[in-house]
Amino acid sequence: MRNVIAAIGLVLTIAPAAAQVACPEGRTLQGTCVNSALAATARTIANVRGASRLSYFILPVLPSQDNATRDPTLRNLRAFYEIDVVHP
Amino acid sequence: MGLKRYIAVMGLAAIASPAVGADVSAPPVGSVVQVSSGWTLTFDTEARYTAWSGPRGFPNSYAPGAPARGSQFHMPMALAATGLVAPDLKLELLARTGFVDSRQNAGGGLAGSIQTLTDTVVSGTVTWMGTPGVQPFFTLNANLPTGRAYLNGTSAFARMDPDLVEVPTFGEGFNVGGTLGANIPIGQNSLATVSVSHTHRGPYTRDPTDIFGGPDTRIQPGASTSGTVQLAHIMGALLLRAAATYTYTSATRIDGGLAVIQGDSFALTGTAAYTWTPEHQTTFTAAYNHTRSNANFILAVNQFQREAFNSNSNAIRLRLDHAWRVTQDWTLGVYGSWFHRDSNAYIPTAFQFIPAKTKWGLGGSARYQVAPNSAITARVEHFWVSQASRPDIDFGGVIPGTAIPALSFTGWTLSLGGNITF
Repeated sequence: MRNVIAAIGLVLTIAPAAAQVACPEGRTLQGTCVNSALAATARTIANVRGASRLSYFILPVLPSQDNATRDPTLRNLRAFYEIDVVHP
Repeated sequence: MGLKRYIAVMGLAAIASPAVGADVSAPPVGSVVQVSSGWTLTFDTEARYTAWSGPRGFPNSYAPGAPARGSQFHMPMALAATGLVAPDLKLELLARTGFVDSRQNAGGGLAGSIQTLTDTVVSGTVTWMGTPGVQPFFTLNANLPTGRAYLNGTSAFARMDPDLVEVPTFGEGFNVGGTLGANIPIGQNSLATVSVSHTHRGPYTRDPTDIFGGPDTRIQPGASTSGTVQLAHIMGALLLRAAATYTYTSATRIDGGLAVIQGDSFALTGTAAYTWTPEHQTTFTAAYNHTRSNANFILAVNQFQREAFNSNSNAIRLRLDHAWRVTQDWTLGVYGSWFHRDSNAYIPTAFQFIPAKTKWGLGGSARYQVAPNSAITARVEHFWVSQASRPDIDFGGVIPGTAIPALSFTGWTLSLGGNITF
């Protein structure tokens, strides 16, 4: 009887932990977790590169990410005829 | 606002949290972590000060604008929230705005300043994680016009060279765009990502752009549509990543009339990051962009015609970073970058000619983990910019005084910031 109670106790200890474990960025076809940093970074890059005309200089990321994310080659110089100054 | 006051502001800006960078020093592949449906809230800000000097101000076609110097204080701030709205549905929200103080002081009356809020960008991303093998996501972005697009009088001269300062202008219209994509994991060590994006750019009114003191200019920029493909692969301590983007835009209108269609562009980026030890990581990034020639609207024939020569330049940037985790709390970094934009395809005496330009940057950073949920980062960079010369414009006859000599600029950028996560 003691062994059964011990076994039940062990299962009860294990089961809740297993139920809480998950993959923060989903799973591969093989069922393993997707690399979180790879996935999150790829999503950020897709958004930044797709939003190159959203603003002349503001990226849709945290300011601390600017230095790592900003790509001056994506800034079309031609677009800046819109900021040309001739007057006053 | 003087430099001393901005230094005080930079100190106040140093609130903290671990920077959520594009840093791919990931946890081991395949590891699982406990995920709660609780939300995290991050506040992130930086105070940045740039000062430059050179032989001419901006625009550098203005010969009397010599010598020149300029400064810019820019303080972006953002609030981000991330959490699960369902067991397999993640939501990421971001709101970002800022303040900018920009000043240019050059000869010949080319002097102006402005202090203003910048535009505000809001972003929301939903990611579905319930299907093994593919994680689709959708992002909606908007640029809210809380800045100033219209600069009257000499404040217009606060606009400076985009290669010298981070904020080249101070506002535009209401822009809204979205990105639809998907991460496709390939085994445990590789990831492919495909995405398509579209941005609609709203009209806005800016100060006149002609020399005759004409009326205000109403600009309706063309919308842009792009597709991006990415590949990332981890081989032991080496991470490789590549991205390719193709973008095309619709017509831009000026004062209601069709004006120009910017050429399609093709951009490539490659990154290699090597983790020598848990304390040392080196990252090399190369980026390249090519833009096709524009199409200008010809009123006489009521149609767009591709320009005879490409007025757009090719651009390339190389950057090398090294990060050194000195202690559990301190991380130091050094970096160097080289950026080159070649001259466009017009002959040097043509009005449309744009000479080549090169920018070198050398910098360092220090990051201190104040607490498990907060950090402070300081950064300093020195840069050098050189622009090739151009001769007098020949527009059916030489126009004397329109030549621009070779120009060299130098400058510094200091920044102090941090974030905190709850």
